[in-house]
Amino acid sequence: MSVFTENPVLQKELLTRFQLRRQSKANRIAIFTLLGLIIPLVYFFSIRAMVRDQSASRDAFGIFVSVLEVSLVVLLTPAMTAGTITLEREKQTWNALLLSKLTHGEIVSGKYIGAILPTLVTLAVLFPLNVFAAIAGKVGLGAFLLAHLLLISTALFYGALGMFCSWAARRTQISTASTAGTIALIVLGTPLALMLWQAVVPYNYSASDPVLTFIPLWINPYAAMLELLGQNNPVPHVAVICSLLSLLGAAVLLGIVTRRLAHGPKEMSA
Amino acid sequence: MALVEVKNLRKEYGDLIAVKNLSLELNPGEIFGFIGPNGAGKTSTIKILATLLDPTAGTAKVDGIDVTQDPEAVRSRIGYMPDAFGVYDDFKVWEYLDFFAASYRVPKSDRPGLIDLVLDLTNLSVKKDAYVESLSRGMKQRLCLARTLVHNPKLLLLDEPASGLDPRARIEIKELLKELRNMGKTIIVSSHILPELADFCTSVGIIERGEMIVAGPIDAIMKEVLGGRVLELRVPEGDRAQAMAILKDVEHVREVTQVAETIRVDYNGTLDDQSEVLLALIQNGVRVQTFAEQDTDLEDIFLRVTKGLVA
Repeated sequence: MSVFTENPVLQKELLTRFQLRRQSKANRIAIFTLLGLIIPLVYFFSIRAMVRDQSASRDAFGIFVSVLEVSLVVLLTPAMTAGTITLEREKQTWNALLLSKLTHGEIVSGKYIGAILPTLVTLAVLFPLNVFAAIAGKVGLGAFLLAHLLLISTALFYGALGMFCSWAARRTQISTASTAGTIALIVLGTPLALMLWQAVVPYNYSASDPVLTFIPLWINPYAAMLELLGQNNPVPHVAVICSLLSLLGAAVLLGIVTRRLAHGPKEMSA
Repeated sequence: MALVEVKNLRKEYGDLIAVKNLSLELNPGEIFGFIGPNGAGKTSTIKILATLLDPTAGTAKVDGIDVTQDPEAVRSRIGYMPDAFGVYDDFKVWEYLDFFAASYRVPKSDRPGLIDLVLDLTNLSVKKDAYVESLSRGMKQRLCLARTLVHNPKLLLLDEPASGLDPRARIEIKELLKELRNMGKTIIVSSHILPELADFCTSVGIIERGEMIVAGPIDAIMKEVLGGRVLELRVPEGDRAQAMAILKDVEHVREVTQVAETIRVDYNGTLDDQSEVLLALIQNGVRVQTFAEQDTDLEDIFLRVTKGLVA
């Protein structure tokens, strides 16, 4: 069964996730008008700033990719995936899914793709802006591609993390809290750990870049993106390692969920 | 070959024994009513047959396939309707059924006809384009039943299908189950509303604290448990004490009890001897107002064989 065209779970996820058809006509017009205004305005002001100043273009690329888009990936993706399975348990529809002829792989892939698709669509909408900023700011092709590999692999990993928590927890609140906790540990905990480490161990700041030497930071996508876009690192080791670890992590988490899908917590009773 | 074979089934949740050495055999086309108080082990047994729970010991087979050995094969042969179930509110009724038909690998070209068929069967055709959210509880119950039918299962496992429904919706579900019986489906149905089961079940099983106390065709169970008939009669209040004293001495009368304004007589004599009861009262001057044989039902049997205990 083709994952995209014939997976009923994916079709269901898309149908229920983008509930525009259930909105009133007035709401639909308002949503499309807002989107139709916001996106062109972002494009207009960003491009105008970049055309005026080349360094602004490079900064814009850095801001778009390292701050805006990484934040979007880190916050939006797990929020979308953390309830994929727990919501089915809470709504008492999980057993019916498990008893169908769908394989666990189809259920997991349908739910996973359906949940990370909004993030990927948003990244796709912003992609032309990234291209423009990269060209105007003379960002190298390698850095550009690696930045996007890092974005996508981070989206896949954080999405898988949310899905794993949704499989392991019984309730959406617990799943969301444990996903948010793990993300906070990675994103905020690793710089904090670096600060503690620097306070305890005598550190030669001029000799080396802390991002390169402090291993826990290698799993932090912000640190990886900063290293990638920094001027002093011709070979962005951390960005490469972070991307590969994210892909590996996503594969491992999704593999566990798929193999153990029926062995998670039971469906909620009335 | 039996469609359902359960042998010495046991299910434990830690220290709690939910099902104790339960055995059961059902032939194709049988409608089996599963009766028991809350916590008796009905849902655990049904869930094991539905492959949602693994038994601690014993075996359960559907169509000759062990539920633990090949659950996928069992799932294609069963339709399971839980006591508490959810639906996708954002779907239209036909989309909901189409989703489950697709999940059971029904070819796309066959689905529209199949959906019309199950909607017709469950009397939901007029709601085909309505959102599931807008359906009443009774309609949702029928929609859930329609969902269990999309892959044409041999065995239906219905856990309390009429719970929480108003009398009209309950009657509709009952009619639907009769229709499914006429279609030749084998059905295991659990319910608390006992008289409803008696109407259309070919056999029943009464379970308490995980143990099957009695099982078999309703008539056979009635004979085994009650052993005779219950006679009900009314006499003026002034004659009641005298009547009860006389009845206790009549041959084949096992027990005489007063229930409100009526006297109930547990009688195990033949139909020919039954007139002796009335004759004894009249000859002793008791003014009998009514005299009738009471219809015994599943409720009587249930109350007699169970002790109100739960696991």
